[in-house]
Amino acid sequence: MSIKENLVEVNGLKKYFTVGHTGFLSQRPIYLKAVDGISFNIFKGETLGMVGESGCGKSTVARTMIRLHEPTAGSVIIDNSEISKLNHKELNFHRKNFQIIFQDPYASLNPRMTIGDIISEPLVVFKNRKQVDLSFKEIKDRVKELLTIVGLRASFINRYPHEFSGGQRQRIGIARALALSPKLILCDEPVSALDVSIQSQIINLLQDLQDKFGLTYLFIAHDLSVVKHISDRIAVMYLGKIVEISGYKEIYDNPLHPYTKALLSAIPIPDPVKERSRSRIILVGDVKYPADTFKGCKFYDRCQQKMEICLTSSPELVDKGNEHKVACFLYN
Amino acid sequence: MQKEILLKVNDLRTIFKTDEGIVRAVNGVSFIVNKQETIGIVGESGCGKSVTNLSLMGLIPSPPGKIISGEALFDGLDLLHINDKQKRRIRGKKISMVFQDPMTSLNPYLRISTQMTEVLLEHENINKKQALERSIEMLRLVGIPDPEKRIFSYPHEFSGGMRQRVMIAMAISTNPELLIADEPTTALDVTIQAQILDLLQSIQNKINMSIILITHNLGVVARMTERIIVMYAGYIVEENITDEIFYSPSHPYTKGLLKSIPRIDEEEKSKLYSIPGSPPNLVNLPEACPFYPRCDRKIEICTKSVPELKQISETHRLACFNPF
Repeated sequence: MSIKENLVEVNGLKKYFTVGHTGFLSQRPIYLKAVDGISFNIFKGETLGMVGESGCGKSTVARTMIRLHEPTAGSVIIDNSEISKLNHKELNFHRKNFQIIFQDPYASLNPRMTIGDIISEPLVVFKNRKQVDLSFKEIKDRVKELLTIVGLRASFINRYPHEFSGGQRQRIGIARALALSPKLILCDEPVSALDVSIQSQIINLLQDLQDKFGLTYLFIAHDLSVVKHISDRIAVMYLGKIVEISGYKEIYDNPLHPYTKALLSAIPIPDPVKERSRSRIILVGDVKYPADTFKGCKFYDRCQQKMEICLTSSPELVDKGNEHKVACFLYN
Repeated sequence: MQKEILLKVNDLRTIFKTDEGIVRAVNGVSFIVNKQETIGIVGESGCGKSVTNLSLMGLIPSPPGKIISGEALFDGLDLLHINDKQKRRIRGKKISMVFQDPMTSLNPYLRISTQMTEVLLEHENINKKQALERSIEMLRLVGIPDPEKRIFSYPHEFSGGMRQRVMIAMAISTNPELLIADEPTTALDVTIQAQILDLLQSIQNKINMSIILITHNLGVVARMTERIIVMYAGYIVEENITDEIFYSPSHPYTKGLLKSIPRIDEEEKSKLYSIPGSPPNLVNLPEACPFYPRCDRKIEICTKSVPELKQISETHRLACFNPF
């Protein structure tokens, strides 16, 4: 096997949102720590799945990586350029290397633009900046080609988003993301708004496109079954931190972090006999609000194996071999 | 063991009048619910699973909606043909409902205490103090910590999972005979979903009610139900006991649906099966099997008439001309 090359390296990425100030006339801000110091890498051509419950910061990671939000701290390197250090102009130049697909196929397409305008927009923007050397005729041909690639008819080019179903709209979003031939695509819950039978169509399409164009994906979802199916490696997030990261098989066969274990056992399996015989770890309580200034492990209050140390310090990701990393004092 | 029938629905048809034409949301649905049993109704968005149950509860906005035929026998009464006074006596008392979205199904202006005691004061012959005590008891049953204080909170002071617990507490406070749970965990995170499903099961064992669980999540029905009804485009296409639906589905749609979900317990990664196309527009349903445009087993007759839902065995009903 050849040595795997990194396409993405994220180091100590933080994103704090200011949500208020301490007391009347006080200037010390209160932070919501959406992403609180996370590091990971994505190899060329692989799919890294990112799972976690709502509010754990998984979407913020994607948006901060490509500076849709400005990071509070940390560095992001995509394809050998340090995205977090680029100025506005350089950043725009690099944007063609990474694209994003959003969750809601209804909100992410402008209802007043035709499908052709939507998909060609990235090409036109880069043409105006003289970074894409295509005539308008060629752009139109490219849009038609993209429509066929994602399984739609080239004749849809003059139609509007409302004429399409959710699954078809998601295909349009994918075509737009492919327009500039990016190396990395961030998929932010691309199938969670879709029905079961449509969901599998889109998953298959994403996999086919990866094979065809050698794409690298960061695949964010809360549905672990979907993430397991599509990913090579999986990162589990809890309240702004990665608690465990490993190969997809390893993490399911041998989960280490108590949260990962609970998460896996909570997923219902569509198999009645297996379901009846499964033992389930039922977590108590809810996910905390991430604004806390609590020093200990963020999972402390819901953890069934908590120890004294978990209350006073926060565990770091430790490599347990086999590219399996976990942030938990049980394994230090 | 002789099962006692709690609810019997016959040939329910519900339509909506829209600018584009008449949407035939429910097209002749018949089923029964036995006492103390949990049945699942599964299907994708727009298949009529929610409209079926809203029709039973008399919650279809009219206009544009209209129940054009059918009967629903519950406790000697036909739910579809009773007056408002009778409806109020059943709704919230004998049949309760839990909705999908715990964020919008509670009134944000009223304290939980007001909303919970309202139900009890309406249906039970008790005074305010007793109603409050009973409500606190219910909150304790569904696992709300510190219920004596929390009952005076407003909905926004609770998280999504907690709000759904409050909804469940409210729904079961009158000891209903039937609980209709419409996607009760869809808006919740998986670990919270596990808590809520656990809660529903333990409550069912305590108060002996029947549950109709409406969901698109096949994992949830595998865990919770004894019997499953599969709906497509306003029709019941297959019904059977849970194990049979999962291990030997007969309708191509049921089979396709089961094959197209990625499973956490899959050993080897293989390409997912996917049903081509998308569900039909309910405005102009042709006189044909609603699934035939997406079906890989279609034969000539499928394009010409609607297959009837036939009793295949004691437990199995199926609407297909060319089943597996």
